[in-house]
Amino acid sequence: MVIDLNRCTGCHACTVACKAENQLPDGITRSRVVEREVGIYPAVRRIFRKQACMHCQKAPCIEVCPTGASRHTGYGTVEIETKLCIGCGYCVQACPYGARVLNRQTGYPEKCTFCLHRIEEGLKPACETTCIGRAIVSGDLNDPHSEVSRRVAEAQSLHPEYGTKPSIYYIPLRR
Amino acid sequence: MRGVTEKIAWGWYIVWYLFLAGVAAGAGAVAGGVELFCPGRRRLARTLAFFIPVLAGLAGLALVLELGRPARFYLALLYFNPASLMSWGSYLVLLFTGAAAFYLLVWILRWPEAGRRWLAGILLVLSPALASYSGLLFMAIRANPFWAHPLLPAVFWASSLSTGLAFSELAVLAREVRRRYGWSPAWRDFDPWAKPWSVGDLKWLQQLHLLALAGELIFFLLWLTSWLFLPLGPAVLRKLWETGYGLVLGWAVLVLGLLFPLGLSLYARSRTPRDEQGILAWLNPLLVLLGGFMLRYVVVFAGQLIFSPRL
Repeated sequence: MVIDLNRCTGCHACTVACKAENQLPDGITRSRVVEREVGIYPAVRRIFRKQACMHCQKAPCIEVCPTGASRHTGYGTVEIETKLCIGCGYCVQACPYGARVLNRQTGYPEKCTFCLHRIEEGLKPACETTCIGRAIVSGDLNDPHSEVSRRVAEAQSLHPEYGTKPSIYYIPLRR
Repeated sequence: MRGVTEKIAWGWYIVWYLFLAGVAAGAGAVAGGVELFCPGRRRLARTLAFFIPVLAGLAGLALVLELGRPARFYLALLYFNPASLMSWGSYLVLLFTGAAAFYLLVWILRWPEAGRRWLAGILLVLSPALASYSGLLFMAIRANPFWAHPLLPAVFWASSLSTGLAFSELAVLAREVRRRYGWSPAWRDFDPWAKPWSVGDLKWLQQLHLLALAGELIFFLLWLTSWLFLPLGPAVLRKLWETGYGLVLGWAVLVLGLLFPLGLSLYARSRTPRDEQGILAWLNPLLVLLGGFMLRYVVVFAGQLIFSPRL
């Protein structure tokens, strides 16, 4: 997935779409929009960034999971096999992006699933379909002709210093 | 503050688990050491044998209760992930508790001494592993600048030894309470104090504890001061101060749990005649246990509060 920060308006529609699609309880989101002010007065601006699970290729949550409940899917995304999850919360602590939270109602951690249930039906993730600025583009990075492959060329991963090889990329702000 | 919500993922049960497992590990090291190297004081090991499995069992229970799905705790043992420290820890808690329970059984059933010595050896080996593993578990979370500190396992081990010795002193002293209230088990084999201790035993424990406290103080101060030299250290110290956890760490852990007991121990040693069973003998270990508990409290809660993913 590639997220173009120049197109994000900070409307939070992706957050709401995710909550509605996945029927999340009050107080819990799988996706969020981080807002930040940059620059020095008077040249200041407000920037927005959608952030959720980075579906890291070298995911710390998978490394620390004692039961192997956190694992990679065939699509390269990270999923939680709830039948194996004991709700220890170690993955919640280990994620450097703060992308997981323990749902006390179910006892499982909540995180973005990349809307796999939709992908398997040939649909796009809920956040992408609802984005009014078309800031979110997902697809097959192995297909060189896909839109996501073209756009990823100008994108960067968030905090590459963590060494987790995230699968979510961001197109940085242009001046 | 967390990313997705502000909730804290690890709560009070984890604090109790860390504390109880630490005390059990420390007491296990004392019992194992006494059994193997101090044959003249084996009555101490026998008394501790009654308490260690209870402490370890309660620690395991606290760990299970913290789980989001407590009834599935057995999956942590069925599915082993060698890359996960929690997998190793689950087995460690189980092995230690099992070894401690068998050690008690061998005492109660008066089985041959060789078996008891083997179990004491196992306890002695597993104790530092159990005490420091939780520090390693925290340390492995590289995303958290407060937890990812190489000295944390050593601090936990030093604290475990100290709290284990404090508990040992209280366990020994508790015989006097029992005597005062006239309670005595019907079957002598189930009496933790069936083999009475001498004042020399308590004095020996107190001297050992003084050394352990000095060692813990060194590790604790090294841990605190080393923040100044780590890249994110000053920011962590500032956050500790701002959130009030620094005060808890300073007063409850350093002053009440370390410096005060150290001072009291030295004061008690200088008094003539010495009163090994007086109020100081009770107060000192109680303060050390309080300090050990508060150390875990700060590590668990401040760690989660300070953890701020760079969004």
